[in-house]
Parts: sequence; structure tokens; C-alpha cells
Amino acid sequence: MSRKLARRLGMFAALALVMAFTLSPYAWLVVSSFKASSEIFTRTPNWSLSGATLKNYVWALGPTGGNLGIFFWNTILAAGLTALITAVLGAMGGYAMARYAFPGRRFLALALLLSPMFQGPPVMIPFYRILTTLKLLNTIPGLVLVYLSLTLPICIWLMAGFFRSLPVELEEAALVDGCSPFGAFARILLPLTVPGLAATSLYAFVVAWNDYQYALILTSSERAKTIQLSLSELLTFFGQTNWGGIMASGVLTTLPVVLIFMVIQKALVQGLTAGALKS
Amino acid sequence: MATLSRLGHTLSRNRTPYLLLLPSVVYLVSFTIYPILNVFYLSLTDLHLVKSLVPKFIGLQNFSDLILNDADFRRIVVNTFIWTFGSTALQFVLGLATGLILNARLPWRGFWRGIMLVPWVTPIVVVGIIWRWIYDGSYGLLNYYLTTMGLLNRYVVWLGEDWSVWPAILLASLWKGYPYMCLMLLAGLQTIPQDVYEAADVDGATGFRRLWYVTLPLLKPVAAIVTLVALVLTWNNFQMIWVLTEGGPAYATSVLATYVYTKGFVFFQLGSGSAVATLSILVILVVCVIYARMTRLEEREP
Repeated sequence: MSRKLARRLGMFAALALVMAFTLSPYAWLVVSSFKASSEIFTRTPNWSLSGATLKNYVWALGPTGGNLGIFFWNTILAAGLTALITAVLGAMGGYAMARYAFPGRRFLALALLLSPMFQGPPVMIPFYRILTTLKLLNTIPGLVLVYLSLTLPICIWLMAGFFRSLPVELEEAALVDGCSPFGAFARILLPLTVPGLAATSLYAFVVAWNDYQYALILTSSERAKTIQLSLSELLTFFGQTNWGGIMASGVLTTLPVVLIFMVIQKALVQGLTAGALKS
Repeated sequence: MATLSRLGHTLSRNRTPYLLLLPSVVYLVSFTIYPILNVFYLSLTDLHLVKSLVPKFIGLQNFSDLILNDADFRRIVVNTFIWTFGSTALQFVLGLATGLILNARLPWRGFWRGIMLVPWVTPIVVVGIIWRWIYDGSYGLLNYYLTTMGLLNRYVVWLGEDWSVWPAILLASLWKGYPYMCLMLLAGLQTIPQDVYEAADVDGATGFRRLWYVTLPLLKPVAAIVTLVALVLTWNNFQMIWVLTEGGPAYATSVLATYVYTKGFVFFQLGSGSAVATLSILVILVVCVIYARMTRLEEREP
């Protein structure tokens, strides 16, 4: 009995350690974001929230400081459009992958699975060239075109999983009743996958929102610059002077994705891990 | 003629799935397959953002320049392996440990599983901000706590000194990356049926022995895939290093992924940058094949 108790206490201690490691850097970000810079630039870290101020947040959004509003808007547009297109194409593609056997299916499944291998630096230079040719450098549509390469493969995969979890008899009944194959998909199955579809497109939103590397090479002005890029520039310009403002900007940048993640966590985790176990 | 009509037959019989997939396939051909072929081609040209806007074919000169004339290149390749394998190994160990904890019966287990994933969704630039502050040479948390505990007798610029910069990057990468590894391993752990553990209990295998002889062997297939994916993603992970050190000091923390960016968008040498990207793709492919072979061979062992 006492050995069992000791094991359990050990387990709790380990959990506490891991959670401390995971959360304390985060807690520090949040605490500092409410502090005046004079209180951050101290030799002794101060975790208390006494003298908390919202000044840093005003600075982050205000025109005399970080002026992040326009970049938030750019990012909402780019990530929102990416999510929308991913939802439509992901639902169509996922359904085809889940329900039809056709020549080329295995090859396509493999290609979708392997495509994350070639994201980022390997294709940076070609992406830059393609957008130059299309005259889409430094535009939101240009960013969306590139972001789809991050979201579409994984989301087709996720949607296929959600469709597979529905019984085939549903469509068979619809087909017998005289529904066209497309009608069975659009009117019978699609409404049933709305939770999965919502989770998938919100995941696409988060992926696009969090992008830094593509915005770095493909955007250059207020016209299309995203929040991640302008945040990294704030760090360059104000890193030595206004840490509080940068921390507040960081919190604002993170908040939307953490909130979205909490909403979709269950469906997303289920979809992602199911894929990993099957492959 | 016969093949054409057979092709037509295949197309018409499978019209629905092909139509549904058509937009995605067109997209993926133009924005995944074409870029890869394009980077191979550009690696054989002198494309330059300022000096040579129209690519001129120069054969393998970019490659020979890199391998023979670039004093930093060897170090960058070595760094890439340290970064990729170091980061993946650390993430695997902590991911597995956390997975075992979160697979046990705990109060609020679902809550901890969700909270654990927060670093994974945190934007990389914010990760950079947090950890640059922790590692700061004058006001950083790490210096303060290590000196207070008596483990350090002077303040260190963690991201600026040769001996400390890699451990510092790897620790930050561990924080950011272990949750995803844990998530996948946890899913694998949950597929291990309870009666296997009960049988092990009957045989008297508990604690560490149970982990070593029962859990780990059963987890191996999942672990092999998850680590392979992590190896590839880490190999191509330019962002983590860039937000912390931009590959510096000098080229001390440059890897192939950051070097592509440095060549292409800092020095504008798009041709040479493409050569780095091409080499990077080829090497990781070889690494993948070897790794997949090794893990499959182990599976065959009794």
C-alpha cells in the first residue's frame, strides 16, 4: 500500500515538474505584459502583478507604438481566406479519398502524406519566383496561395478521416432514393461532418496565422505584412527599450490561436492521432 | 487509340472522385511538385536577385562552390545533424515521459493533456520572444535563477557564446516541440490493451521492467513513425533557429534550412540558395530511407 502511495506521489511530482516547465515561460510572458518597462529591466525577476498596467497593450495597438491593428487585419484576411478555401477543397477531396476507390488513389494518399517534407526552406525560392511572376508578391491573395500548401494536404487527410467515421449506408440509402452521388455528398454527408469541418478549417486558420517564414520572404509593407512578421520587427526595433510592449504584443498574437485551439482541441487531436496511428 | 479509350473509360467511370479532387490536385501540382522541380533546376543557374534576374545555366558550379570553396559549409552540415537528431531525441524522451504520466490515472487528466499542448500552438515568433528574454545576458531569468542557486558564478549571454548557444536552442525547441510528440505517443500508449499490463502484473513485471519489456516494444511502431516525421520537420525547421539567433553568432548555429534563407534572401544569391535547398532535400531523403530501414529491421527481431 505505501509503495503504491509513493508511486502515486512520484507521479504527481513528475506531473508538477513537466507542467512547471511547460507553463512558467508562458506565465512570465503574461505577467511581464502587464508591467512597466522599468519593472521588467531589473536584476531580480518579479512575478507579482502589483502595479499592473494596461499601458503596454495600448502601446501595442496604438498608432504611436506597435500599431498592430492593420497587421491583425491582414492576418485575419489571409488566414480566414486560407481556412475557407481549405474547408471547401478539403471537404471535396477528403470525401473522394474516403469513399471512392479509383486509379491513382494510393499514389495521391502517399503524396499528401509526404508533402510536409517539402515545406519551408526547400521551396522558399520557387515560391518567391512564382509570386513574382504572378505579380502577387506582397499581396494577401499571394500569401493565401502559398498557405494552402501548408493546410490543404493535412486537411484533406483529416476530412477523409471524419468521413470514414460515418456509416456508408447513409449514402447508399440516399442513392437508392434517387439522389445523385454529388447530392448524397452535399446534402446527406456534409451536414453530418460540420463539427469535423469546423475543426479542420479552424486548424487551417491557426496554421496560417502562425506562419512566419513565408510572410518573411513574400511580404514587405502594410499592404500584406502579417502579425507575426510585424511582431518580429518590433522585437528588432524595440527589443532594447520596450520589452513590456513586445510582451503585450506577443500575448495579443497568441490569444486568438490559444482560444481557437481550446475549442477545436478534442476533434483535432482525434483526427491527427488517428492519422498517425493508421499510417 | 485503345489506350486513349481505356483512359476515357477510367475517367468517366470515376468521374465523381476525379472531379472532387481536381482543384486540389491542380493546386498541389503547381504549388508542391512544381516548386520542388523548380528548385532543382534553379540550383543549376546563376539566378541573383540583383545581378542576374534571368537565370543562366551554369551546370554544377553552385554545388562545387559550396562543397569546395565555402569555408562555412562543412560546419553548417554538421550543425544540421546536431540540430535534427538532438532536437528529435530530446523531444522524444520528454514526450514519452510526459505521455506515460498523462496515460496514468490522474485527477483532471483531460485538462492536463490540453494544457500541455499550449507551447505547440504558440506562434514561433512569440516562442522566440519568450526564450530570448529567458536567455538574456543582463536581465534573463535563467542567469538569475542559476546564480541564485549557486550553479553559475557569472551572467552568461546564452545565445551569444559558442558553448551555450546550441544547448539553449535545443532547450527552447524541446519546449516548443515535445507536446506534439507527446500527443502522438499518448495515442499510441492508449492503443495498448489493459490486459497486456495485467498479464505483466501477474508475471511480476512492475515499474521500470514493465516499461522496458512491455510498453516500449508495443509502442515501437508508433514511435518509429513519429520520430521519423519529427526528424524531417526539424531538418526543415528554419523558423525556430531564426527567431532565436538568425543562425549566428557568425555561422555557429546555421543549418541547411537557415542557410537557404541567408543565401537567397540576405545575399540575394537565389541560384546558390537553391543549390543548398537541393542538397538539403537529397540528404534528408537518404536519412529517411536509412532510418526507415533501421526501424523496420528492428521490428523483425523476435
